[in-house]
Amino acid sequence: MQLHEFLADAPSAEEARATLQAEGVDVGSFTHRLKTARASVASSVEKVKSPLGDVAAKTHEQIRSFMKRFGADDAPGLPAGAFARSKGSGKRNNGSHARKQDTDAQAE
Amino acid sequence: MPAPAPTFLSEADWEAYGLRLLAFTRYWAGVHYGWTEGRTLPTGRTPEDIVIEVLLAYHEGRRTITAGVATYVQLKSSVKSVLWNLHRSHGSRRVTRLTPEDFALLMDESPNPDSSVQVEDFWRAFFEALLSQPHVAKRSDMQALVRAFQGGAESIGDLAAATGMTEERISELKRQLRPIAEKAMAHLKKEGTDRESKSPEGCHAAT
Repeated sequence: MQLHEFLADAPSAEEARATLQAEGVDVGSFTHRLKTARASVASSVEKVKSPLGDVAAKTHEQIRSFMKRFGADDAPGLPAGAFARSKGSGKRNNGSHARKQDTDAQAE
Repeated sequence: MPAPAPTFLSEADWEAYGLRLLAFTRYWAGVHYGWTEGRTLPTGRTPEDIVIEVLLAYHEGRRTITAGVATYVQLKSSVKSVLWNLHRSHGSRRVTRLTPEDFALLMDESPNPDSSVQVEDFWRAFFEALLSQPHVAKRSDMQALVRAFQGGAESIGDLAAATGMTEERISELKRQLRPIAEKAMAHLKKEGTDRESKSPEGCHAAT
C-alpha cells in the first residue's frame, strides 16, 4: 500500500529530522550513537592494520641489529651486502667488540 | 554501464541515511508489528538498534550495496527484512548480533483471488478507520489528504494536484498523520483479533 510507504518515508535528512523531533525522538543522542558506531568500525580497521605494521618494522630492525652484532654479511630478507665488512679497516663491523677495539687503540 | 557499488558509506551519507532509516523503521515497526514508543522489538532491540546494525552490516562489508539500485531503497529493504525475520524467527529470544538470515529478502507472493479480496477489504476498513479518527474527522485538510490516497495518489505531486495543497503543507500533514495511521492500524488489528476470539472457531481453538 502506497500510503504506508509514503508515511514511512522521509525524502531528505532534514525531513527525517523534523519528523523524528515531532515524535519526541532525541535526535542528538541518536546521531551521536551513529557517529560512535561508525568510529568503532574505523578504529577496529586501524587496530588490525597498525600493530602488524609496527611488529614488522620492529622485527626487521631487531634482526638487523642482531645480525650486525655478530658480524653476519647478510640476513634473510635484507638486501645483499647489507652487513659487508668495512673497507680498509680489516675489522668486522660487529658492534661492541669493534667499539672496544677502537677505544683500546685510542688509549694507546 | 552502471556505476560501481560503493564499499563504504561516507560520513555524511551515514548520518543522512541513519536519520531517514530511523523515521522509516519507527513507522514500519509501529504499523506492521505493533511497536510503540518505550517498548522494544523482539530480541530486545529498539528501532535505533536496527538502523545502526543495518548500517554497520553494509559498512563492514557483511552486506554489499548493489550497483544500479538506489542505496536508500536497499537499506530500507534490509530494515523491512530484518524486522520481518526478527519477528518470524527469533520471537522473544535475545540475539547479540543480526545474522545473514536476518537480512534474507522478503518473498513477494502473488496473492490468490481470495486473498486479493481480503486485502481489498482490509484496506477499505483501514481507510474507514483512518477517516473516523478524531484528528482526521475534524479536519478537512487531513480528510482531503487521506481521500487523495484512497483515490490512488502515489506521490507528493499527485497529492498536491489532488488536494491543491503545497508540498510543504503536505509534508507537515504527513508528520501529523503518521501516529494517527499507526493508531488506526492498531485499532483495526485489535478489532480483527477480538472478532477471531469471539468467533466459534476462535472459541473452539481456545478450549
